Amino acid sequence: MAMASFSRPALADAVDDAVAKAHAAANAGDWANAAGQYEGAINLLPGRSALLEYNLGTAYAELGLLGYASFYLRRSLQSEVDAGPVVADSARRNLGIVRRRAEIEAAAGQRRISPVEDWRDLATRGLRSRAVGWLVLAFAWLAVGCFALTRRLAPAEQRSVARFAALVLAGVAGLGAVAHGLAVGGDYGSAQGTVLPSEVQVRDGPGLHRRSPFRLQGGSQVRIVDEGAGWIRIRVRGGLEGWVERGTVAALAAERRPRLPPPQL
Amino acid sequence: MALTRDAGAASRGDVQVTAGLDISSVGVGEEVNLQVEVSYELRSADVGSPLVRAPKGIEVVEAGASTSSWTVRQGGRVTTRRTQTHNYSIFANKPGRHTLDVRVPIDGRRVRAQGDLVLDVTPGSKRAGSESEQGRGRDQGGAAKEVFIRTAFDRESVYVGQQVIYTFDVWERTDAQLSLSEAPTFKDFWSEELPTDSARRDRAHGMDYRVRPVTRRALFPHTAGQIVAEGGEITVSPDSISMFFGMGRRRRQRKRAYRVSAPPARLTVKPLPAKGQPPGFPANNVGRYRIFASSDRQKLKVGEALTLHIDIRGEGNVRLVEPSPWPDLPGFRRYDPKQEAPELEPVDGKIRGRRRYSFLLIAEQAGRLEIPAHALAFFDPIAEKYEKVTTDPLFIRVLEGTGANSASAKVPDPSPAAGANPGAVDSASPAQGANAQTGVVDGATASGLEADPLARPLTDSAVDRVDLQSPWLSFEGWLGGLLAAPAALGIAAGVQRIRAAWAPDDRTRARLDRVAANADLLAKAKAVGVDDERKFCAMVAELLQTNAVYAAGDDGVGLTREKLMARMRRAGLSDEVAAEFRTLADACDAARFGAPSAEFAHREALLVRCQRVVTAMVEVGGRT
Repeated sequence: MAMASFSRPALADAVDDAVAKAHAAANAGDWANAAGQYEGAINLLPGRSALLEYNLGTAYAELGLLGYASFYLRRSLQSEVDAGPVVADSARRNLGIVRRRAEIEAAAGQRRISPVEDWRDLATRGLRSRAVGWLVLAFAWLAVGCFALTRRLAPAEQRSVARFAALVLAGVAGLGAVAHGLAVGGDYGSAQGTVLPSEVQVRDGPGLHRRSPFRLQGGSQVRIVDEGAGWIRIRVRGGLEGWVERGTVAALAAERRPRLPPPQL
Repeated sequence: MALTRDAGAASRGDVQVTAGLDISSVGVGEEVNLQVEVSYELRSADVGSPLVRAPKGIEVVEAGASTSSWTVRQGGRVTTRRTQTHNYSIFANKPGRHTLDVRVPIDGRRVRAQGDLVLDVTPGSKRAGSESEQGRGRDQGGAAKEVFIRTAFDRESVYVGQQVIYTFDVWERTDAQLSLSEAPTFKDFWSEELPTDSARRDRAHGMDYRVRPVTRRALFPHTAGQIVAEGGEITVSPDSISMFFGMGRRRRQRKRAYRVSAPPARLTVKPLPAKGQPPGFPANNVGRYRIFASSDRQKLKVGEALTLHIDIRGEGNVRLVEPSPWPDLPGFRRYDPKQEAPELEPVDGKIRGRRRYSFLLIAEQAGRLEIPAHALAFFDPIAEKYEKVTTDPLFIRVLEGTGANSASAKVPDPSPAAGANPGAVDSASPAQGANAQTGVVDGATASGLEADPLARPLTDSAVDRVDLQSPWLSFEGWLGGLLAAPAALGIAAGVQRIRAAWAPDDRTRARLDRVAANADLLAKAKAVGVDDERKFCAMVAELLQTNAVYAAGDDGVGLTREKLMARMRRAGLSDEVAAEFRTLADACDAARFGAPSAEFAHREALLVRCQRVVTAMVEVGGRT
């Protein structure tokens, strides 16, 4: 009796195979094929890869799918994936180009687009980082230690120095706590998202029959503040709010596979 | 209607002719009512219609006539008299003092109404709420009509394209229903609606009317010549209306609906002067305008976009005003302008407004780039000359982009636009000449974006991989850790307070320390006392002295034994204990410095006595 041997390729081999095909398509300028292959590699890869997300974003940018491009380029720059200097520089450059193209498309098509990040957004992002959180905690407990030390020290001079140090540390910890808390709190409960199609109708309620006061350009950055049956409520920085169909906005969460609807090529 | 002092009366036989004006002083263009009454016996006279002669500048319009008869029986004789009442509307178009002449043909002869019918016409309107003195409203019908229409332009003569205001008012004094059955037409005009005033009361033909403004338009004539705004009709639908003609006493009843037509309003339109007219000057640019330029950014990078706004503001046909051809913008790529809906508003009864063109510009080269002045040519009908206004040039600072070499990249030249001011050339800058066509790229396609190449995918690098883990420090964990710090401080402070509230005070603590020290010293002395008598004595003496000072208080240090004992007694130490203290102290001294006393033979018993004394002294010291 012949024994049929069944062998499944190792997962690592499947990933390498998909990546190799994607690279070959990208080098040949076949962006649609490259995008498909990069998507496949990302789905197979355990964990995340900044390089693959950057390459996929670039392929979508070459195809003119600015929403998908913006989404993947931003993901490649997230702190969770640790892009490295080369990938990070390239991703930032391409993100800037995609942004400019989106602005032009928005102006020509009379659509709204989210405003560019300014120094406030950069400051908020910095304050939101875990390093700041750890620093604030360290300062707070150092202040507690200094307060405790004032009870132990006998010489009055040393006690006053310790008390002063405790007050300074407590003040810095307090300010840092407020800033970090506000930065994180703003993020808390509302995820960041990217508009995927080139244009999305934003409605004043969850339903196709609802009025659409404006259209939003693909690639715009929004906040997802609520979800309903088949609809999500978004907010654009500057105050605009409305409802869009689920699947038109992708959350920039750190999950491994984003599960996006396939783009219309 | 009462006759004025200018009423004249004449008679021929039994024919009486009376004539009168309802008012003797009016403004130019206003209406005056003339009533002529001819009364005669039926059998006696052949009476014709009155003839009214007016000087030049006075217009007389027949407004209707009525006849009444009555019969008188007197002394067996029956007499029937007839009265003819003729009404005329007098329009004085020229100021001054005018005399009217009224004659009635009676039996082949003309009988002039006695008395001068003098009318003083002043240049301005005397009546509140009436039309402007330049108006030439024409009534349809005249005196005593229940409904009539007045139409007017606010000017007699304008230029082609100049704004003129047209009004269509219904004057009525009826209870009937009124409806606009036909609106006036303005086929030779461009028309903009203006808000109408609210109804008012006014006086005409010697009577009060309600004036209902129906239409108010800002009109801009297309062509030169004598043009007319005509049409307009009101339907009057009465159930029952009353009309009173002149002095007649009969009451007419009219129950059927009827129509009242508006008189045409005429206007003289002059062509725009040829002298000084720029070539290709658009006929809609008549009025007074200003032009402004602004941008949403003054600093940007190569490849980035800015929006340029060109605003045209002023009085005139804002909706159709055309700017001069757009100038070239070196260093920028320009897209078709977006035109916003013009914002119009009535100001002082005229149309004013703003029209905005918004351009999307892409910076293509770095440096300090100039957006040159944009021009607008128009004809000022008040000053009667052509003007040209321009914007101030704008300067934009363009920095080099990140890697985008737009300055050296081949960018296709914008093709001449179709439709943006074709053929319109700015005559004030002939150097532009044939190059005055606008350079605008059609649409916002991505074809011009080759100047911004994307960075290539990285196909040579190894694929990195990051395994995602739950963050060790979540936001809740951080918050808890942060709040734990002041909580720990608070707890420590609380414990300290509790301890301070329940722990012994300083005095008690000092007493307890003293007791502990005494116990320690006694134990040492007991241990030493077995072998070393001198050391034993020294320890006992130290014990006694220390506790004596403690019992005496803070001032006990350095005092002699006698003084110490006195202090101790004052502090409450009993005489017995004090004496015992003296005995033991003396015995210690003797043992240390001389021959040992017999007391020390029994060192243990000595220690017990010493302990009793020390205990008493500690008790005394704890109270002070």
